[in-house]
Amino acid sequence: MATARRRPLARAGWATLVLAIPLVLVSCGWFPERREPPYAMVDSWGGQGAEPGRFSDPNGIVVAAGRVYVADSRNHRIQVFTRDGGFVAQWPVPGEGRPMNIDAARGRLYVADYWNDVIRVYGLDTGELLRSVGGPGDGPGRFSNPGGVAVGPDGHIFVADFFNQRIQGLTAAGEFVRQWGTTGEKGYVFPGGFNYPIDVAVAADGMLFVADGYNDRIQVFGPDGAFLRKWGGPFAANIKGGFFGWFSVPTSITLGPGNTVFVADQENDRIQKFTRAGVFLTAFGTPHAGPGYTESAVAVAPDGTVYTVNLIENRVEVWRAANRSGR
Amino acid sequence: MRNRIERIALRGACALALGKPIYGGPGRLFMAELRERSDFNAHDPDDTGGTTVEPRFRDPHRKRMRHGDGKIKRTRDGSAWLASVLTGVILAAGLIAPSATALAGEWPTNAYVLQVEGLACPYCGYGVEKQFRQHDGVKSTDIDLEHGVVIVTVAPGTRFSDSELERIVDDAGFELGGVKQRPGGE
Repeated sequence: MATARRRPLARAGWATLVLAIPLVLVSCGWFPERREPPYAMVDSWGGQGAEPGRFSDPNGIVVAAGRVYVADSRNHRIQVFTRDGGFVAQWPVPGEGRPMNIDAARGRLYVADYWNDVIRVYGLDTGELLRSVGGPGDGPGRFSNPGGVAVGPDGHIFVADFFNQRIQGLTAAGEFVRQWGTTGEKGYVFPGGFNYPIDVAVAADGMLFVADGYNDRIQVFGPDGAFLRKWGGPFAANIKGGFFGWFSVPTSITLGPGNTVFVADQENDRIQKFTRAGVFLTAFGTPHAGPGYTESAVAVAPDGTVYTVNLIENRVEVWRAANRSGR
Repeated sequence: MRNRIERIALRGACALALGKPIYGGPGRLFMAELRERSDFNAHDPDDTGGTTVEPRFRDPHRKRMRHGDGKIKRTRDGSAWLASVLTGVILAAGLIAPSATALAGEWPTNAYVLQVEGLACPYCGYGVEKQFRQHDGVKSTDIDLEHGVVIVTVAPGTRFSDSELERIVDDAGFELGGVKQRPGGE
């Protein structure tokens, strides 16, 4: 009898809880609206193949000095294009290397070679392989499947050390300076821990942005290395999803003009744009059904044009904000 | 190619079961085809009634014939039945032959074909490939996203035990779901 009396109360309690959860989530800003219109694709080039201008698993891209550089992973090479897709050159990555996320700075192209556990450094104009930094292992300055690399304003090199669950900071010469995360140990919820970090980006003021891949979040650290903020789903605590501002394996991160951050949200087949404070602005990408994903890496030109690599369709895509026109 | 064969076989099975050729298959295949077919839900403007019921999907094998009463009736040409019988035969062949054997022709014979979940992410798939490439006798590795498998091509005489395969995949942070093919069809 007592049980029967409690049932209506229990039901009301559960109903209130069910209604309250979405309200709390919305009020916390976990379901943001677009603040900008989505970008529109204005150009693309490529296709599956090993010939110049074609790709087999493009996994990284950067725009520098009026050129577009693409990490063509399964073809073990970097390809160079004009900004409208004209083929310029191809540079081999030795040891059947698998280049992933790349960065350009100070006249150099820095390539995370996932296969050989090194950072390759090429001359940006010549394509000459100048040196390789690191090597396999879990000690300081060693890597286990580096997924991404970025170069700071002082020339320091930052590496997303994927299987070692850490970010490493090295001098320009490749000497170990410091690391974020605990070597070989995953951290899922709290700041400073990583779950297969995939890419990094460094701002001119030294702020470090990390695509914390399987934690489905972005983490930001100050120039002094201190944790600043994180975003991606409720509490940025390893909760994946397809809502705006959420992630499902962020695989590439880069900084755009106007203090913006662009993230390739791979398993959601989209690019997401944020402010540096983590405020969601817009999202866009090429949808895809079936095995594989589309948007896997992103680069932004100084004029705001966005270049992405479409992994499953093996092509480069060029995007512009909806209020812009012309090449 | 395999999808095409499956689709034909499914159509054949339906044709045998229902006595008429139909278009589409189960699930996404079915819906994808609906979207592709421009005559989905289209109605014939000439067909103003009569004794026949307008099919939901127009059958291109059907021919419209005007009978003596002036009404349009539909019949079927012989090629449709021939197609139905042929696809039925293909289906029967597919049922007799194990699906793994049918797939094996698409992969190198001197290769292990391993079922592993999560390969669509290159950071995962490459990790599995890299683990195998560190072992003697492994000539090449590849990933078949459509089937969710890692293909490890090995030199003649190179063999891995099941426990070795499990350990190698585990070292890459994954779980071996099964071995779909072994070198030489062992």
